[in-house]
Amino acid sequence: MTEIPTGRPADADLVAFLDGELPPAQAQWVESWLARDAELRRRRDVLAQDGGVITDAFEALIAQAPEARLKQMLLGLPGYPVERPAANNRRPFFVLRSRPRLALLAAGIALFAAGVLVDRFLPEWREAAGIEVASDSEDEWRQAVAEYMSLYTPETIVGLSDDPTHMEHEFAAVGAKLGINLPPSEVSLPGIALKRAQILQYDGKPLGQVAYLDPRDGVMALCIYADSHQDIAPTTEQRAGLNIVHWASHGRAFMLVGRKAMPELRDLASLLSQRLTL
Amino acid sequence: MIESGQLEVRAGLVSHLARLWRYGLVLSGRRDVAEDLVQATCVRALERSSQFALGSRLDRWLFSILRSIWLNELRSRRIRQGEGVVDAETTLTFEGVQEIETNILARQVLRRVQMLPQAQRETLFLAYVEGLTYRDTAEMLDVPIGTVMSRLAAARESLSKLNPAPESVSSPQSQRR
Repeated sequence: MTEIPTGRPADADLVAFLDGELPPAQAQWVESWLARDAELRRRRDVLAQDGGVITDAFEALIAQAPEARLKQMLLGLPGYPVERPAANNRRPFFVLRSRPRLALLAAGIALFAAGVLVDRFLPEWREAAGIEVASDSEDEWRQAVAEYMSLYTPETIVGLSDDPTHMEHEFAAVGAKLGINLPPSEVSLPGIALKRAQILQYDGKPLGQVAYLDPRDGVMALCIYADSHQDIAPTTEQRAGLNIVHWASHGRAFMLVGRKAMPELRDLASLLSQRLTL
Repeated sequence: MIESGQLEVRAGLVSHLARLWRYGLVLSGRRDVAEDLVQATCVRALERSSQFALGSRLDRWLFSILRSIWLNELRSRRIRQGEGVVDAETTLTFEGVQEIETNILARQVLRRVQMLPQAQRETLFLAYVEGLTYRDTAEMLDVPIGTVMSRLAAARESLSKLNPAPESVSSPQSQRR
């Protein structure tokens, strides 16, 4: 389209001219012909009809799309956006609201990076998929954490500072709050970046979160809840579409949660459970 | 980054369903096929979400998936089943007439567009309705830009020929199937 033709513009040239798709030199070529060729001008006028009318007509079609059915279909697809709980576990969304809420204590740490994504899909999938609510109150914190972690994207944590001094302080503060020895060196995992420790709360009790970023599997977190009544051996489960290994000892409940495959997650949890001490 | 692309696909799919359906309708001329196409596109997009390049346009990526499924799978299946591809009697307008009947002009335009050859119809849809540039249209259809230009010119000529003598407008009731 860069060469300037010498002959009379064809219909295709006129249409491209009308659509503003011709490079300036070619547009000038068409213009110069139009200026001296009355027949070509008539041709242009014929072809110029119907532009916006087509767009408007197709807008009317959009309104007819069976959007509710399509959304329902989408929600039923495997992997969108989370694995759906089994039908007999379905509970309506309002049940979730009656449970203690996971809240951030640290000011300013909101679902900042995840916000856009969450706004767009969370209400729909919750409403349609229901939320699996554990009957045992010992489990509920894990459900809350899993739902919360399902909102994380790598962008949520990728930009966090990995300054060693800063991290030492941060991890020490979180460890003190939980009554647990939590230096970065003890919770570091091979090949996975340690990103942050922060304190949240669940049901009025402190809940620590150590966030990791795995180059392949994305966000992973070790969460520690300082309210456990019995020791539990490492156990696997799935919640909110995430894989979880959880265990409890010395009054603390732990869960390692992420999209990493279960066997790998179990190995990492085993490593952490051996290292973590009061 | 792979994870981000996957999340973008998952999060973005829902906002493109109606436009995907419309494209499916333009290609197949049938609402049920359009719906099948959207479903197949969603399945494929979720499967291949790691291939989606962050920062590129999700709608274009989804359109190309839908088109590929139509060309390679659904269309051939329909033909094998003897259902035909685009039956003039099951057109955009006929299928959608109930809701559009208050907009006679839109109905007439859609009917005319439906009468165009498939290649012209799709090119016109992508360039004028979806607003793709000639270059993007050519890329989507895997044809030279000159082909896009000549298809659009032919489509415009066909549409302009119909202009002086629009269809006789019958009452809305008689348009129902």
